[in-house]
Amino acid sequence: MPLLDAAGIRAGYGDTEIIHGVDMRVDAGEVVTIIGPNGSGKSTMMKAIVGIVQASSGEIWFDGRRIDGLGADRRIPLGLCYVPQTDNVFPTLTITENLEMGGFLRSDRLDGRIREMFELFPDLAGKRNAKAGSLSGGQRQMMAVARALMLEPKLLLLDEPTAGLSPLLMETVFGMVRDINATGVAILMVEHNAKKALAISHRGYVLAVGEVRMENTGPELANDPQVGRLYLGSE
Amino acid sequence: MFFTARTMSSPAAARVSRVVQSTLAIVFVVVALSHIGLAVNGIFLGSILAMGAVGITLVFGVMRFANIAHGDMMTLGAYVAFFLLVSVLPEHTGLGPFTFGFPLLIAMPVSMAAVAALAVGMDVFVFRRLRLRRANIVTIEIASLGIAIAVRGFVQMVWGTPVRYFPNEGRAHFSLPADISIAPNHLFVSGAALALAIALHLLLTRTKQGKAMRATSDNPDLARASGINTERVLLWTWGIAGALAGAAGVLLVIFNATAQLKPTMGFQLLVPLFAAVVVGGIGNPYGAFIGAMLIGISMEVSTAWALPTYKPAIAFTVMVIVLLFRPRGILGSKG
Repeated sequence: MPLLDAAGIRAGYGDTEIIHGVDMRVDAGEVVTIIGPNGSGKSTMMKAIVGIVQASSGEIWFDGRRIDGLGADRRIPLGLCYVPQTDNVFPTLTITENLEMGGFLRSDRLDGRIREMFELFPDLAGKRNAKAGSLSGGQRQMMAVARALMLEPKLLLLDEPTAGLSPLLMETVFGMVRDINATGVAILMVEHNAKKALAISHRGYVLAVGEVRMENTGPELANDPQVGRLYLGSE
Repeated sequence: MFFTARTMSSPAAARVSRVVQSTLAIVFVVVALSHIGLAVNGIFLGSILAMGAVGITLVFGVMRFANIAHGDMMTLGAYVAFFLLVSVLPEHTGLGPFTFGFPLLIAMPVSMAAVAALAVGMDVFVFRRLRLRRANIVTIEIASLGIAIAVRGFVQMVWGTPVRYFPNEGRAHFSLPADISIAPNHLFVSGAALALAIALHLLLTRTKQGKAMRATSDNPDLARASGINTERVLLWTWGIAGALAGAAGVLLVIFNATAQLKPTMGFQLLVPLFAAVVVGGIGNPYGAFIGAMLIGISMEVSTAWALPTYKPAIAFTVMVIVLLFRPRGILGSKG
């Protein structure tokens, strides 16, 4: 049984429908990447899964429960946590406070989990009392991921985690994604850096104008000449 | 505007701006010190403004609208205390050096609770419904103006329009060197305001609920994505803003030498309150506190030359000067 199973999802903003019946699944322990041109509905699909955007039709099942009727604050405790592409930290809160907010729903072991996050992201440990707004781009991305990991999710959703980062930092972030996945957390991410993201993914989806155009294993999608021509830029 | 935009971008102009800002700050301090008696009064007035301005800024932080009903919430707080003092609680005045008696110490927390309940009710019955219908900002502002008028109408209906007074007795002022004379009541006003400010600071920085309020103000979408029930955070924020407004209303009465109440007392403070909020940086409670002190002191010190009726104009003048140099207010985020 898949960890996340979304079928026939339609969603958008106001009267504008962005995605028109998307099927998508993530199995336990998988890394799945969504690629596609701008405006294809990648981020909207993520938001519909988390519940920030309500799907107007379709079903979303997570870990054996149907969740499409629940608000975001009722879905997160089930074990799916989300890192938005931008505005993904609380800028006037300190690093530690950001982590506390990430663990807002935890009633136990909050301090222990914060310590684990500082071990996982040593860069943040030295700045624990600094405001998150003062972090550099790469550190801010670490902060955002650490916040989302506070609840020990089963599925982590990352919306373009490498956007705006230098090539070196991109490698760090992809390394981080692999490390997190190695601890058993399934990952669904949207990435512009399709080649590198697909290389570390078990599977991938290609979205265009709100529909799934292709679905395959990560390496095969990365080497598919059609995908290359259409979405990766000719190389 | 083009001129400002171009000059602000060059480092030399930024240096000039810093020099002018420092000069203005020094002039402000020198003028305030040269009229120290008025400046001290300004601190007391600033304490009351701070209680109101912090509430307005907290609500703005999570709701993104300026609550016009805030002044009338203060008025209601004052009248609830008046009702308790004259009809419910035992008669007593002249507690220690103060003009009021010990019943005020009971009436004030009850007023705070009553206005907090009103504020929560406003959200549940009005603002939440507008939010769910995705009403635009103008609709929400007009709704808060409507509540302001309704609350004032309620006060006038129940207690009438004539001026009322808290039970009080005349007390001697404390005389200090440099011709400073301090009414004991004013010390109570400042003490109470300071205690509430510290309590709020501890709430915002030490408690889970307070941190969730700051998080929601920073980034409501991310707060929801963290599992924070932002609707509950809004109710908390309204409750706290209401309690502070209730306290500010009571303090406003005993700040007045004759302890008088008028149905328009809170609404009349709205201009300096909004000036304090904007000067401090909208949405930042610490900024609102500093802004309230700056506005309060400016308003009182201005009476050395200007008629007291110009006080609101002085408040806005100070606001404009601050915004010329710091468009997002003293502690406003860079965005």
